[in-house]
Amino acid sequence: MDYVNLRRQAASLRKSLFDQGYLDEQFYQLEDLQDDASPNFVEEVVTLFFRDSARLMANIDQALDKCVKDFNKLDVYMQQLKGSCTSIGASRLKTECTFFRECCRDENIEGCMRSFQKIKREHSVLRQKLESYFQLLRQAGPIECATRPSK
Amino acid sequence: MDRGDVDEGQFPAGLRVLVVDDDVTVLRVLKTMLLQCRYEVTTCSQAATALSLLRESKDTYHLVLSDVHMPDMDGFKLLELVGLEMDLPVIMMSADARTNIVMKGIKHGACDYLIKPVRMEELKNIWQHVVRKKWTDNNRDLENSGSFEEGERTIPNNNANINNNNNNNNSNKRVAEDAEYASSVNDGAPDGSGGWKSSQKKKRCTVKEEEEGETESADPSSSKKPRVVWSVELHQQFVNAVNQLGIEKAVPKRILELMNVPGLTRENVASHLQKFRLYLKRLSGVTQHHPGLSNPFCGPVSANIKPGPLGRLDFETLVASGHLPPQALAVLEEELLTQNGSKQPIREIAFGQPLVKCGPPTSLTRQFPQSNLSNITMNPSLDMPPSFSSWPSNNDLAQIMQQQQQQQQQVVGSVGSVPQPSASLNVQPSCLVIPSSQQMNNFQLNDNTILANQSQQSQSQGSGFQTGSSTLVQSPMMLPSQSLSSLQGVNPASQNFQINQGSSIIASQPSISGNSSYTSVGPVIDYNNNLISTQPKNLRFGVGQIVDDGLKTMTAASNNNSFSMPGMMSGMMNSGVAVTGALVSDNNRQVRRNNLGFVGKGTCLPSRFAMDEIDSPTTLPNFSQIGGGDLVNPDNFGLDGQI
Repeated sequence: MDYVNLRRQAASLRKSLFDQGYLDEQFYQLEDLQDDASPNFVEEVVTLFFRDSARLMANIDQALDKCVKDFNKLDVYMQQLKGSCTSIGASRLKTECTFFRECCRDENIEGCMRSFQKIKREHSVLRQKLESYFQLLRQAGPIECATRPSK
Repeated sequence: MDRGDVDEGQFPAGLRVLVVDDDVTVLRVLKTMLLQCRYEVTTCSQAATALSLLRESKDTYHLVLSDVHMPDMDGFKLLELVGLEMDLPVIMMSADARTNIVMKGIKHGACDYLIKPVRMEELKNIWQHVVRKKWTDNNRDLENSGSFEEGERTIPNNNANINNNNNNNNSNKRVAEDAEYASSVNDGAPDGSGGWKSSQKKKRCTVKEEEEGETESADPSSSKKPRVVWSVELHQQFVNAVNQLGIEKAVPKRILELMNVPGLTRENVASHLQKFRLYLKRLSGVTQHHPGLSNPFCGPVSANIKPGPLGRLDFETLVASGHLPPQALAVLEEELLTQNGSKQPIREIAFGQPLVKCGPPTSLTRQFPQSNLSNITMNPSLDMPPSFSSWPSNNDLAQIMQQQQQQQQQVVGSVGSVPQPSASLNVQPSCLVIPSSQQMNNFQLNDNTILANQSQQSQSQGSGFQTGSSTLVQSPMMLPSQSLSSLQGVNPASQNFQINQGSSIIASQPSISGNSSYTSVGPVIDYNNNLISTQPKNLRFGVGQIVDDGLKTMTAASNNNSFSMPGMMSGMMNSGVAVTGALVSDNNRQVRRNNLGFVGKGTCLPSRFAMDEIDSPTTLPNFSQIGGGDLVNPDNFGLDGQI
């Protein structure tokens, strides 16, 4: 296994995530928290995030499906989701959540649905990318921690 | 708060923090961050759990970090409760950075408000709040023992002192600024030291005083004084002394002499007097006498008590027995809780003060029940003895006090069954106060129908607000505007209510919107109020803080924003739920816990609904196992594994 290459790939993926705005400063904070005591901290948190957010999104899906137009409820769900997103630094997702909430405020159900589709996409994309990233890290060997290169 | 067990040399390491947030991701991240700060961290995802943890042992935690938006309980509610019950610093967190929400947090007493995502640097500083609070409290005590006559101290002054004392200038400055800002926000209050901040301060004072169950002489020069519990009798003595001297002339030294209570220090009296004066000021400021105003707060008991919300058998039993000790109430509530499950919106966290009616004294006399305590409870004709804590306008004070005194004696006497009713008043705001619709009705009797105001937000009602006594009393009740509306519909039974001046109204936040069905609770509450009455600490019960919505409503109605708040506060003070006190004792702890009823945004009792897990059928498997895009069309940008 070409560890060096794998590590390079991981680094590159990571960089692209930041460059493309998928991740933001908060992710750095997470990485900083990772240390010997919690060597897989970032991955654990990200895993938690996706699990929890998936549940939230399913709830939103249901709420939207019912077509009841309970904007308050939708807003509450979305607020939770947004909070989650901010805590791992999922920047694009967060932006889209904000937009969704604006649609809720405007009681624009169409806007909400469109926005939610976008959220789902972003969610999925982010998940795949991060999944790949962590996989690379794992493959690259335990030496590689998700440390931040020079910022 | 006792940090004795924290290694001083390592401080702030070892600081014990409780984090409450419904988001597990956030909890995980915060926990790790806090651990890195070398704090000791406990996390919980439900407010109810957090409260139980906090209640189990007051000294376990130094600081609470809480999310604002939580499903089982409003973060602000938790904030208030923690502040009232445990007097711990609480820091709010939210992704919501809107100024009005942040403001709300500050007004509810948050030490700080962090915007998510919370950064490590911010967490590193949270220990300052713990220290600052402790310093402020201690200094206030010291200052209180000083030049006391004026009876008021503005927060900024205190903060200035803290600034000098504390080596943490940045934080202090911030606090001072906050205080000034807050004061200026409340500049409607006549005394300028204003609304919530004064109450906040008072609240802190009171809480502190309540904490220990002992009254003992303290070394005036020590920075840590044993807390004095202002029990019913003690307060009664205090009031008597004040009356004797005349409120204008009452000075701590003379009051102390008159009271002749061994172990009580001049400082204790001084700080108590300060609160009392503030209270009176509020009352007199708010009160616009309505000649026709009978006790707005009345005794809950009325012939029309319906088991309604209580629905219950227990209630009836209680009524039948004509005797409802606070414990019974607690039990009752618990039962309600268990049985009704989600139907307890009625439950409010009782913040203790018996509602004091601040009305024109004239009616007071008339109202004072001659009957003994037993009437308090379920006796329809019961005139609740005026709550001790009712401090009507000064000139009427003596009169009222007399009567109250009598009542108090009786009340106290009969509450014997309650465990240490007067002794351990750690008034736990967690007592549920069940606003009895009857009580609400009572309000309606008055011209002030403040209640009516609430629900309808009618402008005319609003004026009721401003009319002193009723206003005050009402306020606590008022808070939950929604319940008010239901109250509006309250049956005419209320008409029959005797509104006792002294009766304390347990103001709890009426049910969560729309649930104001409980009538029967009233009497019980009243009982408790009398029991507990007049704990100055009740003052702190976030009257104004309790129901934010209510407050807003009230203020809107009354067109007197700044005023309302103080008014509310004082009202709240009175409306205390004596229940709180009663429930405070350990015997009732469980009950109390179960009785958490928060008038949140329609939240029900958290303990019932707390969802321990986030699991749901829809939970997806671990993300790492998930293939791409199971949630949505693989409209991915084909980045599978792409590097």
